[in-house]
Parts: sequence; C-alpha cells; structure tokens
Amino acid sequence: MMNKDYLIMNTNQANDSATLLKRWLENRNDGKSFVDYFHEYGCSSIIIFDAGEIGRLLYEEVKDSDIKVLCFYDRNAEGIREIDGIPVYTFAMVGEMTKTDMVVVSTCFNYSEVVRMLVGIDTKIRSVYMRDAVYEF
Amino acid sequence: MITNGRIIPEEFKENGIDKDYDEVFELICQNVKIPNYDGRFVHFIDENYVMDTTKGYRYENITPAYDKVINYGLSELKYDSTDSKFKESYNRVCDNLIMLAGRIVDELRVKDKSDRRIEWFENLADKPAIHFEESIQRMLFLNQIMWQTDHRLVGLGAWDSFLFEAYQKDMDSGILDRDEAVKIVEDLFRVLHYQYTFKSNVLMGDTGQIFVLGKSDENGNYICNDLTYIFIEALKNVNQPDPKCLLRINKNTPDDLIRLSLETIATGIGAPLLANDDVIIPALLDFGIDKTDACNYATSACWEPLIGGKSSSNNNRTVLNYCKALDNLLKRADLSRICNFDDLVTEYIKHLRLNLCAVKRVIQQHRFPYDPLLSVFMYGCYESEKDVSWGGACYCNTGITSVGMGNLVDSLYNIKRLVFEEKKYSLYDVKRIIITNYENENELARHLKGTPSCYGKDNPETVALVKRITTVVSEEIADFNTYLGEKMKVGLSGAAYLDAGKAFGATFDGRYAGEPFVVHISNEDNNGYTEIVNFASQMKYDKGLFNGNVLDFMVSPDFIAGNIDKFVSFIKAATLSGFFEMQMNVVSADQMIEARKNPEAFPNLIVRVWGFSSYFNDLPDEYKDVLIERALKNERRTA
Repeated sequence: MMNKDYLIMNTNQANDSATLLKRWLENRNDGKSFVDYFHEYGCSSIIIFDAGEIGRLLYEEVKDSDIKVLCFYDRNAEGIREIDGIPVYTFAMVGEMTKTDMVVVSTCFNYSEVVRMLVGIDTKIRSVYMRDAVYEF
Repeated sequence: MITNGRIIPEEFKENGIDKDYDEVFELICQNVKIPNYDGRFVHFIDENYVMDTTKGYRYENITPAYDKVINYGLSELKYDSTDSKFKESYNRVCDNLIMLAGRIVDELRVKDKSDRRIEWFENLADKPAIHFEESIQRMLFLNQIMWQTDHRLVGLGAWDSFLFEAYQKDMDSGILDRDEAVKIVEDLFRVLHYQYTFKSNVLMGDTGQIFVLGKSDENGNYICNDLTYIFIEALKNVNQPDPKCLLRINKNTPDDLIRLSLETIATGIGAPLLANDDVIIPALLDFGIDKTDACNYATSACWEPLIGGKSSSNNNRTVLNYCKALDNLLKRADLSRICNFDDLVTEYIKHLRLNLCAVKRVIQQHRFPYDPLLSVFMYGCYESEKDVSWGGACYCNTGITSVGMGNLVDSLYNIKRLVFEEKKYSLYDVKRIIITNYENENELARHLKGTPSCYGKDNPETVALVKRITTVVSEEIADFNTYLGEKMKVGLSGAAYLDAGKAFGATFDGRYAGEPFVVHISNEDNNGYTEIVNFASQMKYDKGLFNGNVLDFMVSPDFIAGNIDKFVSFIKAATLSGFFEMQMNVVSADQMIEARKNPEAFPNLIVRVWGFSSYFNDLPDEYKDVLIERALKNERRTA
C-alpha cells in the first residue's frame, strides 16, 4: 500500500479545494478558526496530511495557538523536507506515525482511502477531513 | 452554448453577455415553435428554446397559482402603473403571455377557423375562464410556460378545487356530463404525459407533475366533490406513471373515496399517495402557516407539503444523511470515552449537530434568479411589489429531505448488542469493519443484514431513539433563516436513498459501501403493516419536521385485490392513528424478476420509485434490484 500512494489522491481535488477555500474564507471573515474546532475535540496536537498550500495555510492558522503540529505528510516530502522546523514525511513512513490527537486531511487526498490506510496502521488513529470540518463551525 | 446538457439559443445573449430576463422571456414568447398537435388541448414545450436559469439556484418543485390564470384575464393581472423595474417586468410578462396566446390563436385559425379553442385563447387576454375545458386549457398554458422557462418539477396543485366551479356550471347547464368529464380528464393526463422524457428529472418518470385532491376545512370536515372522484377514475383508466396524484384524507373521508383510491393503487400505478390532513395541518400551523393556507396545502414534486400558489419554498434543497454523523464519530472521536449505549447516542448527537451546522451553511449560500413569470403567478409578489427572488411570495421557506435513518437506527442497535452487551467487538473493531467495507467480515455482514430491522418497529425504545434524534434536528433548524428570512423544514423521507448510498461507505447494519439506504419509512421485516403505522404515528412532525414523511409499503397484487375492504379499514384506522403520508408499491417480485429478464414482455409494468412512478423498464438496474429485494422480503422469499 505504501508505494501506491496515488490511490489516496483525490481525483476531485480542484473542486473540493475550491469549496474548502471558499468556506474557509467565510470562516475567517466571521472570526472563526480551526483552533476552536480542534479544541472541541480535545486536541492538543495534530498531524497534517498535506504540506502544500492548504496544509501550510492550516499550519499558519494554528501555529500561534496551543495546538501543536507534530509533522506533515506529503508526496513531495523529499522536496519540502520541513516547514518551520516541523518535519514533512513521505507516505512510506506513515506506518511509524507519531501518536497524535487528530490527523487532519486536506482536499488533496481521497479521504476514504486515507482512513482505510490509517485504520490499517492503528484503529485508534483519529482523523478528520477538512472539507467536512470547515462548515461545521 | 450548452448548459445543463441543453442547448441555450445564441439569441439569449448579446456579444456573449446574458440578455436580461425581460428580453429573454419576450424572445421565448415570440419564437417558441408551436407544433401541429392534434388533441383536445394545446400543450407544448419547445425543447430547443428553453430559458437558461443557471444564474441562480433554479426554482423547481414549486406550484404556481393556477387559480389566477383561471379567474383572471392576463391583462387584469397587471399593475396600473410601472414605477419600478419589477412592475415593468411583471407587466411585460403579462403582455408577452398575451402575445404568445395570440400566436397560438393564429396557428389554430390556419388549421380550422371554427376551432373552439380560438375563443379560449382570445379570452385569456382579458377575461376569466368560464368553462371546464377552457379552465383546464388555461392551467395547461401556464404549466407549459413554466417548463419553457426552465422551472423543473412543476406541480399541478389542487385541480378538483380550482376546476369545480367551472365543472359544476357546465354540468348544470347541460354542456357537460360526467362521462365526458372523465374523458376530458383522461385527455388532460395524456397531454401532461407528452414530452415525459424532457420533463423527467433524475430518472424517467420523475417529472414532479403531481396534482392534489381532497382537503379539509378549518373545522376538520372533509371536502371533496365529483371531480375528486373523476380525477382518480381517470387516473385508473389511463394507467400511466405520470402525472402523479396525492389524495389528502382525514378521519371523515368517505369510504367510497378510499375504496376508489385503493382500487387505483391496486392497478400498480402507485397512486394516489395518501396524505393525512389530521397530522399535516397541525404541523403547518405549528410552523406559522396561516390557517386558511394550511387547509389549502398542496405539495412539491414528491410529497413535501407546500402552499401552492403562495409559497416559493424549494423543498428539496439538499439531503441530510443520518448515517454521516455516526461515520464521523467513528473516525474522529476518542472511542475510549464511549463506554455504553447512552454515551454513544450522546456522541452521535454531538456529531449530528455539527453535520446540521454544515447543512445550514450550505443552504444559506443559495441564491435564486430573478423570476417575474413566477412572481406573476405567486401570491404575495404583486402585493409586496417584490420578485420571488427578493422574498415577494407569501412564504419562502426552505426544505431538506433525509436518508439513512433506518440504517442508522439498526447500526446503533447492532453496536449496542455486539459491543456493549455481548462484548463480541469493540468500537475500534466497528470502525475498522466499516472503513474496510467488511473486509474479512462477510459473515458478520450477512448476520447483520439478516437481523430483523428495528426501524419501523412499534417498540418504545426505538420510537424514543428516533424521536430523540429528530428532536435534535428540529432544535438545530429552529434558529435557521434563509437569506429571505424564512425557515427550514426537514422530512424523514427522501429521493436520494440510492444516490446518497452510492457515495457513502459501509454502515453497521450489513450494508456495504455504495449500497442503497433504507427506502423512506419502511420495514419489510414487520409482520403486517399495522406495526409500522403505529411507529410512524408516534413520530414528531411539528417544529419543522413535516417536509415529507412517507410510509412506503410493498404490497403484492393478489393480496390487495383480495382484501380491498380490509385495506379500507386499515387506511381509516391508520388515519386515526396518525400516520403522515403513505404510498403503496403494488407489484410482485416475480413480475419484476421476469421483467428484468424479458423487458419486452412487460412494457407497461409501472412501479413506485420515490415520490413518483415509472415504467419498470425505464429504471436503471440498481433501482430495479432495490424493488425486487424489497418485494421478495415482503413476500418472505429470497432470490
């Protein structure tokens, strides 16, 4: 499964990302933040699946809060390497994932395939899809 | 330019920019092709010249004020002065409709100068309709222009009410007799069924053409007339899946009308759908609908109560999937903190509230296009001098449907039993099983699927659970307002049981990823129909929970044919019990299995799909399979 990470890519990425970003901007205009959302789930740490534009935007939103971003996972981890000193890993390393309160999955990924991958590692890993979460607060 | 799969005429734009509504509507009235149609009524849609409504969220599932076009000439509907853009558009609509009527007159004259319909269309300009057929023609004229301007799923309203005065006048004067009236209505049905393919929305037959018969007055008396019976008789005679019929009943509905309806249902056409005024009217009143309006309710395309001619409410804006909150819970929540069934339900409700927040935010974004035509035929707009899209109608609420309640309830009870009581699985196991789509757990899936469904059982615990969940929904929608300031309503039935199922993962009731959800309020595991009626009668329908709650029965043809009297008693008892709405699919598993194999041998087999009926052969295979499976279960058989 680790070398078939194309399976976890979202074929509807453009549409889903546009929806996510539009809704996210509405939240910003209303003074809402993902920080509050993660607090509702009792999270103090998250891992972000996506070290690209959307993942970095999420990081920017939470970085000054008490929500700690432990790492990122990205297909281009070898190119990106780190964001503000926070490591970016390839999906080949997902089996060794650090324990976290929540894995946050961006719209670059097919969420159904991602959760299937995660549950194969450990059923206790909690995850949320950003496109679902963004309109829930 | 092609929009929504249709070709939009180039003349609707100038240098690539949309012309405004008034200009486009005028072009439509000027240029739609009037076909050479031999039939009693003139009714046509030029499928290559339909308005483009992609500027906003299209007005569909609505019923215009047909009584306006019967009781007034078009010029009588106009404003005396046009001191606003809206009034100008409004009057131009009336003028252009007069122009279109004039074109029809010219076409009729070419064929036959003595055609009596010439006078009907001439009168349309400045006089009310007088005669029965003339009144029907006017309603068809309005209906066709609604389709021509891309209002899909156009409802037909309360035809036995609108037409009764003209019918009675013609009967009293000897112009009409009952047999001729039946033939006229049969021809009406045939002409409405014409261009069935164009009118069909998601599936063939899903046209939204539903007329409403019978009603209650403010004192709870039942109101029906000759036409109520004639319409149902004609429906039985033409044996088409379309148009559709909803018969409003209450505890005082005459037995012979119920009997006639059941005889019609027994033919297999799936109509009329029965709606219980004794439950629906109080729910409408609770929502804030005026009493007179509540007593005159019609319906949206399927079954969602709607104040026809006064409500621009779009009742099918999106679908609430009750299983989504459970799915989210399993993926996101700290499952170690869920120690018992009550914890599970509490956590489920938390996630349901989050889901509802998202639903409300989605709906809040929708905007409708400027629509002076609909505004002319929607009470409130003339009076307020506001277009429907500006909130001009008397009511502009919004409605959503739902799927998955049956699957959710069964999933929750399966978790209760297997996780918390028998401790055979943990919640983490349930999570894994659902996410992996029962990988290596096919035996469990079979076991769960074979477990009798709890949903629809007259069981206090199940009733309490469903009411607890729907109470949360009504709490969450209570504070919602559309951009026009109106409210939201939800129903327990929905058209999307298959499509929503296709896009959704497995559920812990033996349902694999992609399989359909439970159909409306149904349970083929029940022994007899009374149990699910009792269940439905205990549900909450106030506080906005009235947007369609349909009991859906599979009934074998032999069973109903041999037991009409018992079914009459059953309907009367069910009405007293307090069901909301009810429909019956009278078809046998054998018929459908055979038709699946040899469709040419069953060209006229009609089945009920959701709020409409369709030719079985027109349905995609997955819908056929759902019906066959339900029929087999109902007959206590396996494939």
